[in-house]
Amino acid sequence: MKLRFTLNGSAVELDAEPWESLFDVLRNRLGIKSVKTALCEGSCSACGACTVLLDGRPIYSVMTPAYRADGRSITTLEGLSRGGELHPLQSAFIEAGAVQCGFCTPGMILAAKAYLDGGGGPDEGGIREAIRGNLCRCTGYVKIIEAIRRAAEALGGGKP
Amino acid sequence: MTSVELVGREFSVIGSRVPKYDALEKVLGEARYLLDLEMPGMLHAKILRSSHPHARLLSIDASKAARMPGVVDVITARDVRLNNLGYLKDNPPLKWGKVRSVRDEIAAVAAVDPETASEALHAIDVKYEPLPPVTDPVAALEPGAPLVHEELGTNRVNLDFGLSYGDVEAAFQRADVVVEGTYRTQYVAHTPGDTMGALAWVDAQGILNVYTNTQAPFLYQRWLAESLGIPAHRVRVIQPHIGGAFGRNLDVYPHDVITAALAMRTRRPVKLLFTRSEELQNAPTKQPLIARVRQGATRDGRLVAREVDAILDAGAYVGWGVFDARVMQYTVTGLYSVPAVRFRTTVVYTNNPSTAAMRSAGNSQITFAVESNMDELAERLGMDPVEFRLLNANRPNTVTPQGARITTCAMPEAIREAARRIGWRGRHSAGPHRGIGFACYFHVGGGARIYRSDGCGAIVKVDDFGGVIVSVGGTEIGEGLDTSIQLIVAEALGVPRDRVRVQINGDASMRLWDVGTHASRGTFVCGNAALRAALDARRQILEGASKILGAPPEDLEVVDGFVRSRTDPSKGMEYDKVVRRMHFFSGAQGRIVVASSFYEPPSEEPDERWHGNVSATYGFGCQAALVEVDPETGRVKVLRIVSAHDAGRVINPNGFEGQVQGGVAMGIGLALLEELHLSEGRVVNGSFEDYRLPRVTDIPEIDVVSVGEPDPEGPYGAKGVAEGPVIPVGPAIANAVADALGVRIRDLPITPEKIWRALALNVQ
Amino acid sequence: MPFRPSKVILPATREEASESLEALGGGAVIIAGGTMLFRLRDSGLLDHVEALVDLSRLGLSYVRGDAVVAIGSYTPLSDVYRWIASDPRRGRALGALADAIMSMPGWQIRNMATVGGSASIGMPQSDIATSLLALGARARISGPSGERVVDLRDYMAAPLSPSLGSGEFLSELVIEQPIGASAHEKFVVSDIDHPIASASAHLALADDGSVASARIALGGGLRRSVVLESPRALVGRVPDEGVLEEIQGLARDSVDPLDDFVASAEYRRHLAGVMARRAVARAYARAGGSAR
Repeated sequence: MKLRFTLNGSAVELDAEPWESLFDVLRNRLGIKSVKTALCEGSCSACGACTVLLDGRPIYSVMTPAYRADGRSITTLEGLSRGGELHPLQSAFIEAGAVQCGFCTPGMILAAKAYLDGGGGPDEGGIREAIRGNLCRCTGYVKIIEAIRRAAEALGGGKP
Repeated sequence: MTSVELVGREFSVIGSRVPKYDALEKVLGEARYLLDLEMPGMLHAKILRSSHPHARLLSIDASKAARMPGVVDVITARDVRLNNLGYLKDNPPLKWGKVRSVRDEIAAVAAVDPETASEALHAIDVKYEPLPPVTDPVAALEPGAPLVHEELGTNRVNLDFGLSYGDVEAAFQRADVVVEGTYRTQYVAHTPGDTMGALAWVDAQGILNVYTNTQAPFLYQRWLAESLGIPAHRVRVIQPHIGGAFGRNLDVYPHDVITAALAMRTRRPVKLLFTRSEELQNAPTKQPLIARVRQGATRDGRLVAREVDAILDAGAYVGWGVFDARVMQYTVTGLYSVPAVRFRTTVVYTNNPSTAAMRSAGNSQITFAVESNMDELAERLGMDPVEFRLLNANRPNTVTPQGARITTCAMPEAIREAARRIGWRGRHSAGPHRGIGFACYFHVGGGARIYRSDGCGAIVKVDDFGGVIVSVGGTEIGEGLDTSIQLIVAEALGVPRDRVRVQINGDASMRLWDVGTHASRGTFVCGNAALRAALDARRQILEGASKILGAPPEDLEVVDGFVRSRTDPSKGMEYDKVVRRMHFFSGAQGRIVVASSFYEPPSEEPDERWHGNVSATYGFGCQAALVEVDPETGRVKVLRIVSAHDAGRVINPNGFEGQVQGGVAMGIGLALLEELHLSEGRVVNGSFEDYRLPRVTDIPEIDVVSVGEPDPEGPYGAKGVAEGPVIPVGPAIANAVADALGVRIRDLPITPEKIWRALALNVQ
Repeated sequence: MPFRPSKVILPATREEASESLEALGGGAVIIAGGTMLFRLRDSGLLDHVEALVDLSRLGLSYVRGDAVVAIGSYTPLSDVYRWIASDPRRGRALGALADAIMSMPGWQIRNMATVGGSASIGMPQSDIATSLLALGARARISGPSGERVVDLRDYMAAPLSPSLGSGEFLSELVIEQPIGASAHEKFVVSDIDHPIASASAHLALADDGSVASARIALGGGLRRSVVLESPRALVGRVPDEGVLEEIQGLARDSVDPLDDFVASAEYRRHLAGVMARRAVARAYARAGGSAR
């Protein structure tokens, strides 16, 4: 099927097979390597490594048919920093020490971005809820929560 | 030289909060893991494994698979000559004659894509004669049990980690109270984000190149070459970014050898990468433990004797997990001051998974047993568990019966701080259905000499432009060794941190030897190597500057990149200018600044009685857990953890806290969540859907505390801390559950159903 | 041959949808959120599928209504949650559904999974299905000969195979009496667990604070879902401790639990009772009742 969608602000046009996932297309055809997978073929465990934003909402790209992207807008980590300027979340992940092995980082940042874009603020409960769909084996989550809190404060989100 | 001379100085970067060295590329999504690596013409490998936990292999017919379109090569044990792997060389990379576990490798396919390779596996016809499996290590020792390795005539593995110091019998006689219990720990999967695999190819020079997420590149090089029967200098090991490892990648496994063999045969790049279900089914596991613990104390609360009998199920082949027993030895003999100790081990072959070391390498298992028993003993003595621990705590400048020389030790401070911060007011006083539990640990903090060399090499180069490149043999798997190295080198040289680039991972042949990232040794051992190389480079710069500036070298210092005289403020120059002058000008000295160092920690390989000072220093800590238990369902909610550590001087606070928080999370997994369930040696919950990893919903408030003083041997006083935080979580939670409800769970994980059953028994 | 459908059909009208489904017969599978389909992609169960029929262009993504709540089958769970959460009255009456949605780990899955897809899985493990059963939801089914409405229980005939005739598809879920209050409780050890036991309760109260009508659905690790319609132990009474004990006993005795490595049947049975009691207590509190 012919698909047209926006990837990180640029128009993309390609052919996808019905059985292909959005993940397959992003990684294998479009070279978007920040989108990771825990390789849980046939059983998704909500590890969140494959998270991308579809029209701003976080989804798992391994479980989303590629054709669903048609006419829509996809954001991956590659789309966050513009012109060498880091997104506040990226800066906060660096500063707060929220990155260890880094495998979960892209998915975590995108889940957090959707939260902040949706008006989410620095309260811990909201932040924890925002990353419930993402797994991290290294950090114990504490500094990830802290990073999102800092970014929320930097962006002034969550205030009435 | 020790770094203690530097103590008390004002530091420029040591101890400051800095970003992790590679964080930027990771938040940009630019870090490349094994998952991301591809090469032109690359083939994909898949492995056919046994359908039975125990069977004779009657025949293997791969001819149909070999003829399938897209299949480039198929190998079985008949096609390639490979040497056995493992400490006991009991593990053929490809099996013949018989299979001993469901993970046994029978054949492998290299094909143009993974789907074709998988399909080809189905076309391989294997005839088996099933044999009765033995999957219970105790039953495996009974006469008449099926034999896993028949030629040995027994399932008992010829490895004995037993030891005895002091007159144990007499000491138990002297004890007023003796408490005995049997404790069990479960099969656990390391499950980093990255799965296991390798990408191998042979280059035009005939060198076998391997991309691997190994934690021990130099041992990998040697063992891979040995198994392939080629000289190790023909092997080049390259490490990409590694998405966690936790001990899983300390060995060379059959799939590594198979991937390399396929690349050598096909002369094409071959990649093998486990899917998650392959990972959970086939990756080595944490070593499970059955331990009977008996401890005796006098009425006034002095520990006088400890005896531990351990059974270790090796699975079908002896992996590094079995050597967890060597870490257990030090805890049995050294956690708390106890004069008479005995440790007996029985290592058993079964048809179960074989094991690997996993973060703490046996210490979390044995500490669960010992620290649970400590609480039971305190209760029997009628003593407060905190007082009991303080009374018996390890102290500085003491020697354990096994010969561990404890120098710095802040265990008493850790206990007091944990008790204070958790709000301890004595037993059963945490509120309704709530409980508080404590557990301490004793772990290596200055390397661990389990191999003949425990060293690490480092090279520091200062280029003509003032760029400082430090290369270390150590491996970055997410723990932050890169950052520690950067801080140490910047501090030692006196240059701004951003001038220091750290060469870690990548091509191991361009780095100096290191035994591997394990045993919490990276910052201590590799850090000491980098420190020495950096101080040497600094000396070279000062000597060069001495000639240029006309001041004696001992009068010179480097501060924030500026070389200056301590006594004559008019004499000074930027360090990069000094380096250029040394190279090009000033009488054409023609000198460049490069230094290397190999640091071998001052520790001892244990002798035949297992006696010896295995580490240059030791780490200590105490953890307190506050839990709430739902008495109707048995569900445990961890409300708060206080995690107090003696890690010497904390040189990288973000890294220290991250290791502690991540370690506590992993400990919560071990305590409450994680377990690979086996049926006849086969994992039945082999997906992330059924295997419970700690998620954000499992994480309590974690209070991280540093109670250490600078260690005289550590780089800038640091001790290792990566594993410590995992160790005491299980027993602290078990002790907290007992404090809350009066039920003692002696086998991990502490599931709600176990608590519910124990409560039901209590009611009866 | 692995899962290799040759086409995706995106009908623009219900008639087209029915025609496509009829024409393709067993070779077609309806794709909703896609979470279950892509999970089963490599399982072998879908290898016969020739075409995916995607009904996302039929305008089936909506939540509306007051006296009768209608939820389009293609509505993502996150949209349903936001609609419920935006109004306290809805939050009370449809609380069980909101609880069930939020009990799923993470917004990703809530953004992808749809109400219709969740109802069509037909397994007691589905928290969404359990909450809809307690709410007495009915399934509106579109087909070649128009529409029919059936009880959700009847629609959820068997795991992964809802009761649909040729050319039929689920277009809407209807909750006819969104009154009173409801709550969903589930027991898991890890957030990722399928519920070991779960219960949803929906209560309508009389003026005197007693229970006028009630429906309790039990799910989780059971062989089949259980629905208790206005149990005598509850109706006409105020759910005090004694009544709740009776409900717990009733639920415990009503289930046919699984027995596996996750939990024993005995423990699951015990939990079914505890979850039922807690769901009733919470629904009652949510309804403003007070059992002094």
